[in-house]
Amino acid sequence: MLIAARPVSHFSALLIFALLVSLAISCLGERTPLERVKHAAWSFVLFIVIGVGIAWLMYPFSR
Amino acid sequence: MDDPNPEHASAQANPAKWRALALPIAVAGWAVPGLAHWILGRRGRALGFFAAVGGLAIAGYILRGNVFPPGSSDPFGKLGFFADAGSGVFYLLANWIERAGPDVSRAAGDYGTRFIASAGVVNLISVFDAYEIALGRRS
Repeated sequence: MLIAARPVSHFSALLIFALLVSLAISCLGERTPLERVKHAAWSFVLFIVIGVGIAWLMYPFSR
Repeated sequence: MDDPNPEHASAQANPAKWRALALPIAVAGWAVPGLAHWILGRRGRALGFFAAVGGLAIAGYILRGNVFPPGSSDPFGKLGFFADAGSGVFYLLANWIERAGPDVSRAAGDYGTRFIASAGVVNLISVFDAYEIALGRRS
């Protein structure tokens, strides 16, 4: 299977990474399915908020 | 105390048997992400780990991330190999999916390298989780 590299933005890469890692984190430990969904959603939001926050903190050093 | 979750019945039926099988189950979980949890009766979690590890690894290959080969003399190359190989069967699929080889001259390839390593590390975490469940230390 030959696949050319897909153009991907920083943000879309962050979204994909956050989604998949949040899914894995929610599968750790004993939880009901509803608790698992809530945990994954909360983890996903934190990934995005903290990622964008760190990006803004680095912004002054990028120019 | 009785566990009301029917998913856990298989792992609780004979704790000594599962303790003895903890290591082979962990190896199975490394080879096929989620298989250890599946054997232990945690079917939902097994599918979650399979989807997460497979998604990260395949996304990494599509982005043409660097896959570290075994036998590197560089310590970072060795660490990279251990992280990548953690994804078990998905590591073996790297050459098939990513036939054009890595391209880290672009940001996408660099992201891909991190995705592939993350897939392996996530799978290793799931293997330790399953091992602890088999030993009866976690549920």
